[in-house]
Amino acid sequence: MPGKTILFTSGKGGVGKTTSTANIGVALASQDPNINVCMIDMDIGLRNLDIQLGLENRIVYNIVDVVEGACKARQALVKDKRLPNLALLPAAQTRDKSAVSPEQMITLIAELREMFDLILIDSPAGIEQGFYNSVAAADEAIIVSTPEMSAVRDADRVIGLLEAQNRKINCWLVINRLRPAMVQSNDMMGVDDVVEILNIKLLGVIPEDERIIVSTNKGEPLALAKSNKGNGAGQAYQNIALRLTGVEVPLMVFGENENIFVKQFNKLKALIKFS
Amino acid sequence: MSKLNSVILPSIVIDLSKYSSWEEAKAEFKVLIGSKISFWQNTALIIRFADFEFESNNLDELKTLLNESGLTLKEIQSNSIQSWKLIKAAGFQVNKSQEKNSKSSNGIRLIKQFQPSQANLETIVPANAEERKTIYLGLKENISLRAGHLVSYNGNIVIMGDVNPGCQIKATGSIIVYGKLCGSVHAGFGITDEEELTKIFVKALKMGDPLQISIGDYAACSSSESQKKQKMGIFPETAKVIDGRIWRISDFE
Repeated sequence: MPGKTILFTSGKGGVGKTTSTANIGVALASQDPNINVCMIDMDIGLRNLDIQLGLENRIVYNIVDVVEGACKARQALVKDKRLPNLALLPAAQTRDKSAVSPEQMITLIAELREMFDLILIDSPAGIEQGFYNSVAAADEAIIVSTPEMSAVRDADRVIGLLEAQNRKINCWLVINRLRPAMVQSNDMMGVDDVVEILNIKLLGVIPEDERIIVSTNKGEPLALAKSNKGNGAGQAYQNIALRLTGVEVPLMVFGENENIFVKQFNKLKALIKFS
Repeated sequence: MSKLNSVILPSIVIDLSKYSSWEEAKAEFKVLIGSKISFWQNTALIIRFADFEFESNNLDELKTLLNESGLTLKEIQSNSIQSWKLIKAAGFQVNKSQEKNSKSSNGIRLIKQFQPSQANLETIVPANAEERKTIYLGLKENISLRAGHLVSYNGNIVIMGDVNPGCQIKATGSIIVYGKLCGSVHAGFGITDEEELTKIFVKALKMGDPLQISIGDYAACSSSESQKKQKMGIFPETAKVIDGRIWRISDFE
């Protein structure tokens, strides 16, 4: 079965692309032991995905070795220590993003598609070479954004760049680090505000959760924690993984007010079309 | 198609087909039109209704609404064939509901075509009012013009969709946005004649923040005060040059 390739991108740095890739990857692999999931760290020179998965110590070869022919893809893949159907293709730490080209990525992904059902690509921040390397072979894109003006502006730019690609790339939105109390007191943008500006389908919302910090430092993704108990970021990541496989899961309720102004505007705007 | 100061306005379909009764459809139509209607003037309107059967007093109410607002209706679309006789008797044109195929992203490809660099607009001679052409973005499917997009055209630009902050639009003519307008728009680029400039305008269903509007050599920006007073629903406004300043005129009450 040809592997579907999903790109995690954002434009802005530090909004949660790597955390989301790690958590959604382990959630997908743990929910269905029959599918093979591969995660690729495209942040060459500043690799982080291996730390978040706790696989830092097990890296021998990396993606630059593979595209340069120093080793085969299979040799560079690091099997996850908890889940047998999950693997990581690490980035290089001693090189930079010019070490790989979009054409090389297309060839590499084509090879990986034979081995895996799902390939998750963790794109670096920015819109330069690293971004274009990651976009080269992606089928779908998950835009990660926090509910902040700067993050939303950058996400909008990135969506514009994705829409301008030669092929249709389905874009999904994940809103990360939401604080429902701040939304209610009007100090933070709400889900409606972000979706109204970005105008792409919402895949999920992750609330701000201190346990994420602990989990990233330990290298144990929160989505696997047994203490999730139906709320918090870990559960939200599990829900997103379920939605990606086609299961309908309602959005977690955070007790925030709906933005009625935005809803009214969108409702009326939807009535008007060109003839 | 009808004209407004040399901008050829497209016919607009108001799609009320998800309101299954006349009362619901009428209520939504009233909110959309508002009591002060200059935004919709000179626009050929087509209203698409759901398949409910019309009663003659419904059509009388519609006529009153249209008269009060000074609007003309080009056509009513309804799949309830039983109502057609009644609609025609009331003096309206009627047709079947035609759903456009909205699968293509024509709007985006159109942007790529009309993305000449800034240098082009600065070196060309702007077309005068009679010869000015209009391009339409978002015809098949509403588009969102995103941060980093640059649209420039020697003529008028009509956009069906939103313009996000960080987007730049330059036109030698007028600009109309059927959606929320943010970013930086420059209408009447290269026009210096004051008389000509009074005919150039920027219209939007909602003027957002941050927004920089330039008409000819005049420039203005939105104040961040406006963000605190969020208005309900749509709030159409027109920006024009009057007495050496850009004014925002509300087309809504």
